Amino acid sequence: MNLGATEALKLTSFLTAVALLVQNLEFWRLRRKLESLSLRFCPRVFSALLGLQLASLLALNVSSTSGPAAVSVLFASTLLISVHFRGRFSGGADSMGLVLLSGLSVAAWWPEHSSTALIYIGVQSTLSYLIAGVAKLWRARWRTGAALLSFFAKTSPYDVPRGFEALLGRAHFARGVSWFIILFELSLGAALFDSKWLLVWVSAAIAFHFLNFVAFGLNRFWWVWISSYPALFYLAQTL
Amino acid sequence: MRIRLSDFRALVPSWLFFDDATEGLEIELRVAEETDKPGPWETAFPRIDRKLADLFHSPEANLQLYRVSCFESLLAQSQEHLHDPASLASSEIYQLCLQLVREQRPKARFLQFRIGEALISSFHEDPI
Repeated sequence: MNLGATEALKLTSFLTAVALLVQNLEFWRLRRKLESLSLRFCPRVFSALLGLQLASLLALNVSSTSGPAAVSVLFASTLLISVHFRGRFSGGADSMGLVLLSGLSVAAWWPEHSSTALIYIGVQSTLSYLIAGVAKLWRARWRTGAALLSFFAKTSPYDVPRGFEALLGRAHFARGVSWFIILFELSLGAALFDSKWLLVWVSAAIAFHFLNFVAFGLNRFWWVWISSYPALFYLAQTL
Repeated sequence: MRIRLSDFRALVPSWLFFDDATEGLEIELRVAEETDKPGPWETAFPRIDRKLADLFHSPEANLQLYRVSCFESLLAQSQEHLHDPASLASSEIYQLCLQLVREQRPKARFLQFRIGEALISSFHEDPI
């Protein structure tokens, strides 16, 4: 899959806008419920930030190219929304959203550095899998599958299907799934060097994040990580 | 409103996604009319139904994940307050966690929460 910088940027810009729109609409829905909590800004400022983010998202998608002002306002409002929750609302998804927006901002202000901006996004996306894979490989509870079961049983916001909990309760199955995840995350390093394998790897990654959504409710991760894949393809072409 | 440098944590990606110390937290609460007669411990944040449409719009599941994240932070910070446990109760994160639990039982006279067996709060009384 060959992508020029312009196509890769347009795709990244569109997918990022969709990912942030999903987040924005979720926050609008939660707005009243969050009013009773001691968060960083007062409810009015939070609503204003959501309005600003929504307006800049629309501006970003209506125009054929990402205007520097729209991307910068989007970056600032997204960062401040994250600050409102002390940087804890969506953890890694917040970070990846800001990585995408910082790359898009650089490309919008300095088009001659578009390639560098895409490579930055691609490198961060790669690191997200490699670091997570190495960290799991390093920990005995991940290697045995115990950590996976613990997260699934206690952290998921959803009810655990009985059959799946029973399956994960079997040591061999949990260990197998854990090792599959570890090897899948680490294999991105090799897939980057072969465009056909990268296409297969990205297809598997889309399914992997979908399963993470089903198991752990991480819908935001699905959207933002998919948004980084055009940059992965671009990065692979430069290697 | 006092913004801290740590509020900008999303700017510095860690890509670790999990913390051994707070892996798979179980957060429970109990309510009481009198502090010496507490009710049974129960899950603080009941699980929600899973729907495919949540992929596009899932405010409740994300709020639930945020709650867990706040309690992870509280548990991590509790280690810094071992010498003076009372100071933990006045920390911002403790108060936020208390609000998150309180909104689950807004009419309870006394309320207590715990994170696994590791951290148990004292009874809190709010006006009914």
